Amino acid sequence: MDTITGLPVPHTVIEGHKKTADLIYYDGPLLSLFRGEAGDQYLYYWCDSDELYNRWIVVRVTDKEVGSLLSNRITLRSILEKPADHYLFAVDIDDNIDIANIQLISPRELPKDYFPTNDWALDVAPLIQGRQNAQSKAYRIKLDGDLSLHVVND
Amino acid sequence: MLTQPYKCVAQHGGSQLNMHFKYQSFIESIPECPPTKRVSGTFPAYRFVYADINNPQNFLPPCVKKPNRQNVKGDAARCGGFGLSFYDTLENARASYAELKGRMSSNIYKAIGTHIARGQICEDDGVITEKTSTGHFELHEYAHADFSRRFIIEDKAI
Repeated sequence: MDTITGLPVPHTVIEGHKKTADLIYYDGPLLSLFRGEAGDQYLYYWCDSDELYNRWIVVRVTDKEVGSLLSNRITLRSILEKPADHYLFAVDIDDNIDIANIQLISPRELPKDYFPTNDWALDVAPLIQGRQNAQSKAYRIKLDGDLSLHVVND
Repeated sequence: MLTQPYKCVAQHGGSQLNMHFKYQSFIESIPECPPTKRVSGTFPAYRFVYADINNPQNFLPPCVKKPNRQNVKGDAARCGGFGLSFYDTLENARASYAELKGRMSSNIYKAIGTHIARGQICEDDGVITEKTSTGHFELHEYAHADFSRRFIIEDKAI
């Protein structure tokens, strides 16, 4: 996993985040949308892993950005390059889904290979097939096969 | 190493009654899990794997892989976390890999694999979800299923 030199910050900076949707999912989430306790929205974007950790980039997104991302008017790459807060969090999560460390980092300091390979829109043009999951109160909106949006209703 | 196409051999006399799932203890508390559609007949399937077909991670479902790539603890309550992803054709597997590679970091190979493996799904391997428009489906294995011995590397994906 690439070494990054951000500013270590306490885990509390992302405490209380609740997942609202998986936007890209293949054998587990790759891009998810969360909501913080204050109502702000955050993207969790998978970017790297090693034997112990998966690394996620966590970035606050405005409601307008979420709308634009889901309607393909802006790209994920553009959000990561110019985040609303001018910084991102690099979050390493271990096998028990516990946070191991969090670093605050500027997009300029992020390894180039962490950004999406192509500047593509998410392409979430909905081919909708709802599938209710009774226990989790979650349902899946099939977008294009396995690239799917799982919307979680708590 | 497997050099000839695998021939399905019926387990337990071919009866699927009372078969246990490999991850039974994890999924039994998840409603509507696993799916109820049994594998019908024998058909080819394709899956993303790492270059060494014997890599122990190749045929583990998302919630069992190390390190677990979930981003919230509640994800383990999802049925799909204990199913294996497959594609129905090599072309569909290639197309989906290209999609993921384009939309994600170039490190995506670390999460999903570097190659596409080909093998046969047999009648008493487990239960499957309906195929999507991209040819993707998930399989929940019965306890005796062992795909690592009957898939071969078909193509490099990256």
